[in-house]
Amino acid sequence: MSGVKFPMSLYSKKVIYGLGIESTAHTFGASVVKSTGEILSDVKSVYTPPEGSGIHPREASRHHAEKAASVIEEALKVAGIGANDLSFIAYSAGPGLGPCLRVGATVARAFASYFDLPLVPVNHAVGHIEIAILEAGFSDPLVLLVSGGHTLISAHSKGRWRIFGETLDITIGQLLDQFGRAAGFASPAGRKIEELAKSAKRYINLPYTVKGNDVQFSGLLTAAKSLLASGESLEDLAYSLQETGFAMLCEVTERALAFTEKRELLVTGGVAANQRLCEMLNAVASRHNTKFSAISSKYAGDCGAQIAWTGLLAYCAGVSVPVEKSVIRQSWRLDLVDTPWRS
Amino acid sequence: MEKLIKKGAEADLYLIDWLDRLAVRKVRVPKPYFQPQLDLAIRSHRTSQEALFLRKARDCGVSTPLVYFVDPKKAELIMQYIEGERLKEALLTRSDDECVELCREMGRVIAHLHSHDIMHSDLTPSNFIISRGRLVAIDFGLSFISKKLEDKAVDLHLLKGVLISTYTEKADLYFNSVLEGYSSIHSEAFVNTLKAKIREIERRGRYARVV
Repeated sequence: MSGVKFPMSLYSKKVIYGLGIESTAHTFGASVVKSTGEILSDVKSVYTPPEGSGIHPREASRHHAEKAASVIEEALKVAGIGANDLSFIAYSAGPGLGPCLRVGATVARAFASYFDLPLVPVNHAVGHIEIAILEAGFSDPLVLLVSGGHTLISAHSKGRWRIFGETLDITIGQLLDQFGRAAGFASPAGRKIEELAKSAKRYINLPYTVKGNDVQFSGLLTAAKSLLASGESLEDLAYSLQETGFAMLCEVTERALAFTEKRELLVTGGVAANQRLCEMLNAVASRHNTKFSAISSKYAGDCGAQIAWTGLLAYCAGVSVPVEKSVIRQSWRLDLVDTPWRS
Repeated sequence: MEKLIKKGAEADLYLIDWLDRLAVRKVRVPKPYFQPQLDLAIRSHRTSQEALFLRKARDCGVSTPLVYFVDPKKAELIMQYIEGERLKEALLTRSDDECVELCREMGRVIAHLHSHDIMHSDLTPSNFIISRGRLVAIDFGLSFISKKLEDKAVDLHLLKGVLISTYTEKADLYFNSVLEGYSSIHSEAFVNTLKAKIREIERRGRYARVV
């Protein structure tokens, strides 16, 4: 069985603190964590694009550069510790938007150099998974990661998170955001769509595409957008879009659950904040006598805590990088990340 | 006589007696957590597709269970019981040489399906049973007809994904053996374009290394 080697065992008596910086997309976040598994602070500032638009990478990165100092300061203040109490600084090294990642990495490098701290690169997707595992208290779960950047099903085996199913085109977050954009909402639009769906009157047939353990959402998006343009009710479409897209996710999750025979099911990432999705997944889990947990809404979306906590696990397992060799990777697939803290 | 033999993700399988023969009753059970209209549409569509493609696959020389009875409204299918070991387990327990030969045979079966434009859409070692020295293909619920190279490549790409997540270190060996078997049915030129397409699909994958 896979399980985390708890950091405390490596630092028998000494409790350590770490700072994590998140900046992959719309969110600039900073968080301080303690090796006992406590999240002492989690501060964020989110760039919001104008109504009807998506994230503009340059504009988002400008936002991050402006807010970085105050967000980090606040994170340290809330945690009640100074920079000298820290043992390391972790940053989200990818995958994500280049200009945004560069801001977080630059800030982290400066901080590491100035305070002479080890620098720990963290994969953003692993961050979503680890923070959810910490919260749920799980040891070896099947994970559904649903966000604007990811839609995949994963379980840990032989040192890496292996992918058991994923989207072959766009993510569930993109599906919701791009439909939202067509309806005139700003991204992320998931919450708005969830609200609208509650007042729907009927289900409209939409394309349902499952291939093996993989899904495709682009046909569903095109159909929903063209029905919206032809005057179908927005509420009915929001409802049908959710029902269809989430059913696809539940189906492949259930297949992966039956295949891997895991006893824990975890959903994490921004779209995990959707109540309807969680309700459906909970039913899938109970059908297979599996424990279910969804990340709480405060850590569902991108946050510093996911980077800080994963950074702590990585740092305790000996992961760090010299400033001059620290890079960002816009493309960094989950299954290419070594995770030496998990057996 | 009726005995539950498998509770799958999608369907429950029962071993039954059908006119004095051992048969399997496959029921796609309602999913109460799905929108009811969508749930019924999926279950009945897949049931009829499965019956259709079990038959089509047979017609192109691929061993599949015989279909005895179909009821799309109840999402129920009764078919021949195939006795044997699943390829999934065989690939975990048998010697490398035997596994390579089994993967080649799986490749040949897939090639036969593809030469008749049948996309299985759920190619995994769980969906092949080794019975009396032959590979029997099952689970055609997601199958469809296509002439597109893209669809054939996706079909194989899915199999590659399953091999990697299940047999990690052996995945390359197994997948190359599948392609070897496939090549014995199709022309080298076709297989080369297919391999190039599979690489293209991999590169399209989210956050795949930018080449």
